[in-house]
Order: sequence, then C-alpha cells, then structure tokens
Amino acid sequence: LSRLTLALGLSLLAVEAIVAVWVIASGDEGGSTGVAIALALTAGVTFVVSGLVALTRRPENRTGIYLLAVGYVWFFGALTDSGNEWVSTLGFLLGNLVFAPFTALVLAYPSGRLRTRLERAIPIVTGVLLTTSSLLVLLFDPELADRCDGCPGSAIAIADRPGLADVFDAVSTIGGLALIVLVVAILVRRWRAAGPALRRLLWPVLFSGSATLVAIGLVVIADQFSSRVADGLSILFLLTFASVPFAFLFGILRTRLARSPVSELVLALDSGAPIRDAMAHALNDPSLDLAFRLAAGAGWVDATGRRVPEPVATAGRSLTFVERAGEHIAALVHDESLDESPELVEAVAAAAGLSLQNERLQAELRAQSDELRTITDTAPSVLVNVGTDGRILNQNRAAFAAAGLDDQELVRGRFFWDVFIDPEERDDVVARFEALAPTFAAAEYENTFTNARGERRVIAWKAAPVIGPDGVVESIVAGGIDVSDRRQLEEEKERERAFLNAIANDAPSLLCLVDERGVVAAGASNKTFERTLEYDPEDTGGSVFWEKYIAPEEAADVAVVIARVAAGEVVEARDNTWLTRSGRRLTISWSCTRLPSIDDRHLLLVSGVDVTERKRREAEVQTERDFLSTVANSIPSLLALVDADGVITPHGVNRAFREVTGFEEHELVGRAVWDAVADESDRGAIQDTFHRAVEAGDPLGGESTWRTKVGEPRVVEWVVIPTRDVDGRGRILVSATDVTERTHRELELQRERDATTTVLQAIPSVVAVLDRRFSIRDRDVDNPLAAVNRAFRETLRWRDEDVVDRSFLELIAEDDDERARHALTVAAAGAPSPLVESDWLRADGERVTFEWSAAPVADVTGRTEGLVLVSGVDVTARRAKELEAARRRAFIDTVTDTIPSYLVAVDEEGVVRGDGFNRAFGEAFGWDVAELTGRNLFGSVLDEDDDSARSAIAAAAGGSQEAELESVWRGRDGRERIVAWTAQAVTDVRGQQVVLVSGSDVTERQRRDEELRASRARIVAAGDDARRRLERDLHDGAQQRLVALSVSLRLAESKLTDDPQRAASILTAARDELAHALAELRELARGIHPAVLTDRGLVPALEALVDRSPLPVALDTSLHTALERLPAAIEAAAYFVVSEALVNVSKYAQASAARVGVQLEEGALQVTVEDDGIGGADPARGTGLRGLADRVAALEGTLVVTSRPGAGTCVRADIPVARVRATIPSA
Amino acid sequence: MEMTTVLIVDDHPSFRSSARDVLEADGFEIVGEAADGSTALTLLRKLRPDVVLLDVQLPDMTGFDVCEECGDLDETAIVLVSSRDAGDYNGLIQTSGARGFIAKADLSGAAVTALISPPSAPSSAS
Repeated sequence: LSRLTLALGLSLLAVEAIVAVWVIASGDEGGSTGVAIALALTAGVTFVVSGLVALTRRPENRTGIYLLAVGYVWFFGALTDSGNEWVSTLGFLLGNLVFAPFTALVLAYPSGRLRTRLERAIPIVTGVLLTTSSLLVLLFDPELADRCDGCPGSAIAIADRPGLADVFDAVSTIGGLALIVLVVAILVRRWRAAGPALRRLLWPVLFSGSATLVAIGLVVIADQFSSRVADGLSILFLLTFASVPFAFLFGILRTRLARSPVSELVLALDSGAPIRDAMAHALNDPSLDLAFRLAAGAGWVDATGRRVPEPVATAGRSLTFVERAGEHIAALVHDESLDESPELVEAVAAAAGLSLQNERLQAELRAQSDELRTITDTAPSVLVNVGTDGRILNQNRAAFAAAGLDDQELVRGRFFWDVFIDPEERDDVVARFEALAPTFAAAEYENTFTNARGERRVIAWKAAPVIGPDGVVESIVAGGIDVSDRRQLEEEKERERAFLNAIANDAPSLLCLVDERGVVAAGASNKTFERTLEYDPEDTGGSVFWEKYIAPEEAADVAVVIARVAAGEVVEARDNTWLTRSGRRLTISWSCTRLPSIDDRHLLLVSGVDVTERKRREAEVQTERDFLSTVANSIPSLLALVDADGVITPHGVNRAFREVTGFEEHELVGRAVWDAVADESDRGAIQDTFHRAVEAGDPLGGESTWRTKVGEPRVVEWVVIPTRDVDGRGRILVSATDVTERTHRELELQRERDATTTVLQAIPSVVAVLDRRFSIRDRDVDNPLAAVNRAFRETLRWRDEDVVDRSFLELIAEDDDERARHALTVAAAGAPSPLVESDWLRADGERVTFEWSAAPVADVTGRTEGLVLVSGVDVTARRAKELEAARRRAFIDTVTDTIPSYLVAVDEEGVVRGDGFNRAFGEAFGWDVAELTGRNLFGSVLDEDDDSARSAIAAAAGGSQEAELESVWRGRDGRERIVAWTAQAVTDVRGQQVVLVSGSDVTERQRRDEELRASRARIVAAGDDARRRLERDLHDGAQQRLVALSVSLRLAESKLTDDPQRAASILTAARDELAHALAELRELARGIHPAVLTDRGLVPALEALVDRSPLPVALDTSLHTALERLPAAIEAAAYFVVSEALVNVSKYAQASAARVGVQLEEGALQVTVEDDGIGGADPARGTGLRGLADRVAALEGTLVVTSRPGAGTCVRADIPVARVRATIPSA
Repeated sequence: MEMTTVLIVDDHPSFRSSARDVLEADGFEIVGEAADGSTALTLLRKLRPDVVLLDVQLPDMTGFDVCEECGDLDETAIVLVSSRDAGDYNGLIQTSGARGFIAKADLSGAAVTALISPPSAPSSAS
C-alpha cells in the first residue's frame, strides 16, 4: 500500500467526516442525539482507519478494502440529516448501502475472499435490495414520514403514495432480515467448521459482525412496534457496529503479538521438546504436520521417520516449505488461517530451522531404523524386547500375531508373561525370570500358551540380555519361532509312533530292541516282553541281552546269534531258555532281525514267543506214554502184543504176563503166543480163534489151560483184540486173565451157598421156594425133599411129599382179592412183592396167620430163572394180641363213654383235641365233638378267668400233677356244675402228649354235704329243743307242783294250831299233789331215755312202749331179747323211731291198730311202724320225723316214710349196724 | 283298817289257787287273777290293786315287760314271783321298777307285807 493511497484514504475520511459533521450540525434539531452522532462518527472513522491498516499490512487481502468501503459508505447515512432536500434524499438513498460491504467484510474474513457464489451474491443482493427499496420509498413517499426523523422529505418523489412506500419498506425489511439470518447462519456454520487456530482468529470478527447484524435485525423488528425501543437498540447496534473494526484490529494485533511465541519456540527447542509439538504450539495450530525431505530427493518422512508422500496444500491446509541453504529441508502443513500470519510462520520456521535440520537428520535415521523395523516386522520370527522388570518394551509384528493381537493394541508396558504365558504357568515363569536377574544369561526354552485369539501357540524362544554401556542389563531381547505347526506335526508323528508302539505292546510276541553290542535299548521293549519276563518297562533296557534274559548256559549261543545278525546274517528262529526276573525258566522261540538304520544307529529287533507251555505239553504227552506203558505193566491182565501170525513182538508182553507165565521176555519174543504158553491140548483151538478174530477184525476169546514155565497149569480166559498201533500198523493184542483163582472162588461160593441154606433152615421165618407155576419145588433134582425150611415144616407141619409140586396157593386159606397170587406174580416177574397177610392152612386144618412176601430168586446153581422165594412170619399170636388190644381199646372207649366222669383231652393251652372228650362230658355240657374240637376249654366250658385251672392244665402238660380242683363248668345251656377235676399228661392213642382233664360232677355231693351240714345243725337244734322242752316240762310240771306243795305245807303249818281240821285237809291235798309230782317226774325221765332201754335193751324197751300205747300195737321182732344188744346209739334210734311213730299214730293217724317190726338183716337194723290209719302224712312237715331222719342219717341209715292217703302210713328206718360210729351222741 | 288288795298274775292255775289261799289267810284281799301279761295290764289299770304278784315267766311276755308297761302306776307295788331263784335273773329285778321279788316257795303274807312296807323295813332279797 503506497503512502499516496494511504494519504488519499485518510483525506477522503477527513472530507467525509467533516461533511458529516457539518451536515449533522446544520440539520434540524431533534434529530440524532449527540452520543449517537459521536458513535456514528467514531464507527465510520474506525472502519476507515482499520481498513487502511489492513490494506497496509495485507494488501492482497481484500478485508481492508471492505473495511474502507464500510467506513466511507457509512458517512452517507449522515447526509439524511441534511436540511437540503436533495442531500437528504441522497443520504436516504445510500444510507443503507453500508450493509453491502459490511456483509462482504464479515463473510470474507479472514481471507478477504468471498469463496462461494452465495457469499458473493449476498453483498450484491443486500446493496440492490436496500437501495432499490429506498429509491422506491423516495419515489412514492415525499414526506418520508416516520422513516426519517427530521428529514426534509423526498426530492425525487413522483407520487404521494405512502401506502405503496410502506409496502416497499416492508419488503425491504423482510428481505433484509432474511439476509441477516442467512449471513449469521453462514457465520455460525463457519465457526463450527473451523479448527482451533481459525477459531482463535475468527471469533472477534464473527462475534462482533454477527452481533451487529443481529442488532440491526432487532432494530428493524423493534421499529415496527416502538420507536423508543428501536432507538435504544440503535445505540446497541452502533456499539456493536463500531466494535467490528476493533475486532479486526484485534485480529491484526494478535498476529503481531504472535511473534513472541517464536522466542518461546527457541527456548522450547533448546530444552529438547519435540520440534513438531513446539512448532504447533508456537503456531497455535495443533493440527500442524511436519515433513522432512530426505537428502538427495529420497522422498519425505514424518518426524517419526515414517515415509510420507510429498506434502501438498489441500482444502483448509496450507503448505509452507522451510528452506535451508536454498534447499527445502522441511514442509509445514498447517491450517490455512496461518496464511494470514505468514511472518509468524516464517519466523517460526526460521527459529526452528536448525532444529529442523537436526530433526531431519534424525528423521532420516529413523527412516533407516524404520526400514529395519520393516524387516523385523516382516520377519517371521517373534521378537520381544523385555525390560528387566519383565515388562514388554516393544515387540515386532510377528510377536503381535503370535500373541493374537492387532498391531494397534497396546502391549507395551505389559508383563510379557501376561501376554505369552498361560495363566497357570505364570507364577512359575515369574519365579524363573526373577531367578535369572540380574545377569539374565542367554537361554533357550520353548513354551506353549493360548493367545488372545484362543489359539494354541508353541514358541521356541532364545533370549539374550541387552547390556548397556555401563555393563548393566538394560533389557532382554527374546526371539522366538512359532513352532506350533511343527509341533503339531511332531505330535502327529508322536501319536503315530505311539500307535505303532501300542501295536507292538499289544502283540503277543516278546519284542525288544538291542544294539549291535547286544545292549537292550532303553524303553525299547513291549508289554508282552515286560509282562512275560516280569520286568517294569523302565528296567528292561541298558543291559546286555543275553546276560540278563538268557539262561547262563545258553547265553553264549544267543550272543553268537545276535552277533551274526548284527553282521548282516539272517539267522533262523530258535528256542532258548530265557529267565524271568524271578528266575523262572521259559522256553522262548525267538528270532533276531536287523532293522533299517535310524539316526545312524543299527538296532536289532529281538522277537520271541513263549513256547514253554507247548513244550510242557509235549513233555506231558511223553509222560503220558510212559504212564500208559507203566499201566500196561502194572495191570493184572496178561497182555501180549503179537503180529498177524501171533508172534510176540519185542517189548510185547507186560509184567503180569511175565510173572504169571514165569517166562522172561526174551524167551517169549519171536514165538507164537500159543506155542509159548498154551497147554498142548488147547493150542489148536487158540490158534484157530486167533485167526478168526484177525480176519474178522473183532475180538474173540476163549478159556484155555496155559502152562507156566515150570509146567503149572493155569486156567486163563483170553481175548484176541485186533488193533492198530499209533503208526497205523496192525497189531493184535492178546489180553488174558488168569481165572484159576476164580475157579477156586466159585467153589468157595458153593460152600457159602450151603451155609446160606443152613441159615435158611435155621431162621424162624418160614421159607419156601416156588417154581414159576408157584408150585413148591423139590430141593434139587436128586433131592426129593421140599424146598422149604425147617420153620416151614414145623409151623405148618406138612410132610414134604404132601407139598412138593403142590401149588402154594392151595396152602392159602382164603386169598381175598387174590393178594397172594398177585404177590407171587410180581415176584415171578422179577420184583419183590409187597407184604401180604394171609391165613395159611396147617396140615391139621388149622389156620395160621402169616405176614409174608415173595421175591425173585435164583436157585443154588444160579441157572434157573423165574423161581420165587416165599418167606413169611407167623403172626397169629401177634394178630391175637392186636385183636385183644383193639377189644381193650373198644372196652376202654366204652368205659370212657359210660363212666359218669367227664374226660376231656386238651393241649397245654386248654384247646380241646380231636375226639377229645367222652360222652358224659358231651351230654352234660351240650357239645358234640365236631363243635368243641379245636375250641378252647376256657371260654367254652371253663371260665376264661379261671387262672388256677389254667395253671393246673399247664402244670400237667409240664408233667406235674396238681391237686384236685373244683371249678364251675358251664354247659351250653348255661347250666353250671361244680366239677372236681384233675389234669394229667397222658399219651393218647395217636401217641401224642395231651392233657387229660378228668372230673366228676360234685354238684350232688355238694348238695348232700350241704344236707348233711343242715342235718347236723338240726340234730343239734333238736337236742337244744329237747332240753328246752325238758326244762319247760320240769318247770311247768313237777316244779310247779312242788312250789304249790311248799305253799300248801306252809299254809298247813300256819293252820296247825289254829285250825287243825283245816291243816289236816291241806296236808291230805298236799300228799296227793306230791304223788302227782312223782308220777310226772317218772314220765319225764322215761321220755328222756327210758331206763328200760339202758338196762335191758331194745326189745324190752319196745315192749314197754307198746304196752303203754293207747292203741293195740303188735310187736314183731326177730331179735332175741335182752341177750342180743346192739350199740346204744342204734338201740336209741330204733326206740325213738318207734316211740315217735307211735305218738304220731295215736295223734294223727286215726288208726285202729299199729304194728311195729324190728329185724336185723344183712348188717342192718330194719325198723318199721305201720298203721291202718288215714295216711297222707307229710314227712317234711313235722319236726319229729325230721329229727328222727337226722338221727338215722347220722348213723348212715335211711328213714323212709310211705304214707299214701287212705292207705295208712309206714315209717321205715334202715340203720347199718356194722358201721355205726360211737361218736354219734344219743339224744 | 282296809285290806290290802292283790292281783295275782301267773299262767299256772295251781299257783294262783295256792297264792290266793295263802294271802287271803294272811288278810289280803285278792281282787283279780290273770294268766298272761296282756290280761294283767288290762286288770291293773282297771282294778288298781295295791299289790300285783307278777310271775316272771308268762306265755305272751315276761314279767319285766309288764313292769315296763305299767311303770306309771305308782300306787301299785309290783312283786315279782318265780319258781326260780332271784339270782337266775341276773340283776334284772333291781332295774325293773318292781318293789321286790319273792320265790314262789317262800310266798307268804308276811313276805308281801315286808316288801310293801315303808322303806324303813328291809326288803326281802329272796
């Protein structure tokens, strides 16, 4: 920018300012305020000054021009305040034009260029719109009312149409607002798109510009509603508008002030900061890219030495080359906003020049190392650099791949064991790593781990320390080869080998490998080898084969074989004795084979099969052969092996043959067997039989006499057996048995038989031999005696000639159901018959009962079949006994059933057994056998709670006998009986132990006992009664008379002197009274016990009694008088029976006569008193008769009263005389 | 002097006759006779005798029973009589309310008078 231009611009500003001031000052008062004017002026001036500054600093940047345009045009607005109509009109017309350059200014900042068509159109449209609308308003609104305060009006109005002007105004307002919105939108968008550097440059201008536009928009909008608000907003607008140039200035100042970062940059570079970062900071462009040009045009690299394409400027990015000594050494690719501050960029570049040079060299170095890295990265080996703390410093791409990571993933800083070692092995590896510190000696190892992708990796590592200049290990470099695939192959191979090994192991052969020196390779034996030889797998190798596994005596042989095979010879399989660990000897059939060399080792395969068992069997067969031969020699039969001509072959006779014949073998071999041993007479027959047997191929034999060497005859049974020997050759075996002894034995047997016959004769059983027609045989053909034994003869008494040939059945009295015939038939058929019981006829016709059976028998010669032996026992006596027993049993049954006792058989619990009680029991208690059998006696007959009865039965079952019990037994009809019973263990007819309960009904006895007790009580009572009566009689009779007598005598005494007459008469009366008393006493005494009875006996007493009786009584007695005395009690009883009976007769019977009979017959005194009275007496009524009955009963006699009405009464007493007891008192 | 009136109670007619003879001879007036206890009680209340000769053993009741029945008859002196000994009655006589006891064989007017005399006279024990 030339000084002239600057001067021109400033002059123009001055002119405009002056004009504006003048116009305003000369305008109407009431226009713009002073402040507004000042602001307006300041704004215009500021724009112009700013524009000039900008033009001066950046002549190529049109921002300055836009600033100037805004400033200059701004002053046109002031012209509206002119009083001159035309000046005002011009001002009005151009006043709003200022917004055209303003929008351009804002939109072009900071480059000063309007880049898009829209950006270029907006200022033009703005200018056209605003100017056109102002022009139209001027044309149609001459007054410019409300549009321009204090304006003199339009100078160019062609019509007064303010309404139309309003329309144009409104259109321009809306259009203006739309443009404002559009511009603000573009600015906002630009802001948002800007980088940090640009933003720092943009924000003052954009902010103030946008604010200005927004403010003008608000003014326009507010103007529609309130001029006051619009006025206030106009101030705001002016303020913001005026600030815009300052914002530009600020931007410019920033650029200027930015020079100071250069010095910071220098300081930063000196302090070693990365050059790019330092420059980016200095340039305030974080996006700065730095590229170095390699020497000799070798291309471009970045700061890290990475190759980059040649840098070029792109949209928003500018390129600045840094030159040194006329050569581009670097290029800065920076935000294009820095183009606004080229001097800054240059300054920065210059300041960094030296550093850039250095950096370039370093970058070049890095580029070289980068090549190295490329190499490492492309190498298949895994490389990891690990710090001494185990953390990964860096690693190559292969390491990433092995770790299963992408290059980008950060592994640096992680512990290598976290990356390359499986979790379970980590602790181990850490320990090992720590053990290696601090020297970290070089090591090799292989490890398997699962990487981040889950793949199994096997790495073969080699690690070595990186030693720094100071001799300290700085890091450890580990290089590894991923051998996963190789390992996999190895594993496959291993499996294959294992498979082969398994086959070898499972093979039944013994297998092992030995080297050429015969040493067994370690682990080179199979299971069969180990198992057979009893070694553990780890123990088989290492020793010389023949020393360890072969029996010492054969070791040398085996050593030779192995040596021959090792030398390449082929040696056949052979058997040798091998030794097991425990010393067992095994026969092994084995061979040795040279194997193709592996790893230059020549190995021999020894393979063997255990044939011990086979050998053992072979040996067994041999032993068996020996055994057979031994057997042949030891059996008692004579054996000779001869040829087809009967000639004895060598070794062809056994020991028995030699011993029996007495010949030695050599004397027999070569001779025909018959010539050698047979008696001359039998030779032809033997020879003949021999040849027939050989021809037929079947055994044939005979019995002959042989001669021993000493000429002793032997009876020999022999058989010729054509055979074939093991070789298939025909051989004939002559087997012979010396039966000389047997013949002896047969004789013995015969003797034995005789003995048997003797026995038969001797035994008590009856025996007879019948032929098949059941006829009794004779004993033998030449013996006419019957074939029966002595017992038969003696029991049945038949003569032999009567029974020989007689059918046995004829001897049977009655063959009921043909049982006898059946038994004989069975025996004739060959089987023993069952036992039969029959009556046999004796010779005298008597019957004898036999229990007998028949059995098949051979006769003494043993040659006749179908004979029957009948043997029997006479059971007549037994039968009779049985019959008797049966009768006895029947008798007992009858007794049992007829006795009145109750018999019940029960078990120990009281359960009634079958047939377990007798008739008396059944009838008494209403049970029949079927019902009571199996029931318990307790609950059915006996009381359930009768514990004493239970224990008595249980005790009896236990064998003890309890005392008799009395219990109440209840019949089914509910009737109760008192039964006295005992229980006793007995064996019943079936042989079973039962408890027999036997009881008798004592109900009646009890009743009688009761009666007896009552009778005794009555007797006592009667005695008491009699005494009472006696006392009464004495009292009432004799005593009273004696009392009266006493009184009379006293009275007589008193009258004796006074009245002797009277006394005499009293005394006379007294004498009579005394006589009466005496008579009464006498009678009384007789009633008590007649003296005549005591003194003279019964008959005189009865005679006296009869004499005293008022009735005619006849006394009929067979007793002799006084001479024949009976016991006093009996006499008294008889006397009182007669006495009482006669009293009764006289009292009640109305009889005319009575008869008294006293007889002593069969030990009993029989007393009868009969009358011919009315009868009908009731013996139970009177106490007199009862007392008599008691008295008689006490003497165990009986008193019977027969008294049918109209037939008189008969009292009869029977008193046993012999059994009288003296203790019975006489009343 | 008025004669002492006597009722004789005994089931034996012979005794009654003898007693009448003896007592009348001794100056007593026999106003009645009874053969049993119930008749005696009836006559006692009807006749109001000075003395009653009362046999201990009566057919329907004992003399002691009669004593108890007629305990309210103060004016009549009861004299128990019996052919037995006084000791046979074992003290019953003393508690019976009777004036005294005379064995039949000892009966006399004097014995009766001695019993019914004022208390100064000693009572006959037998």
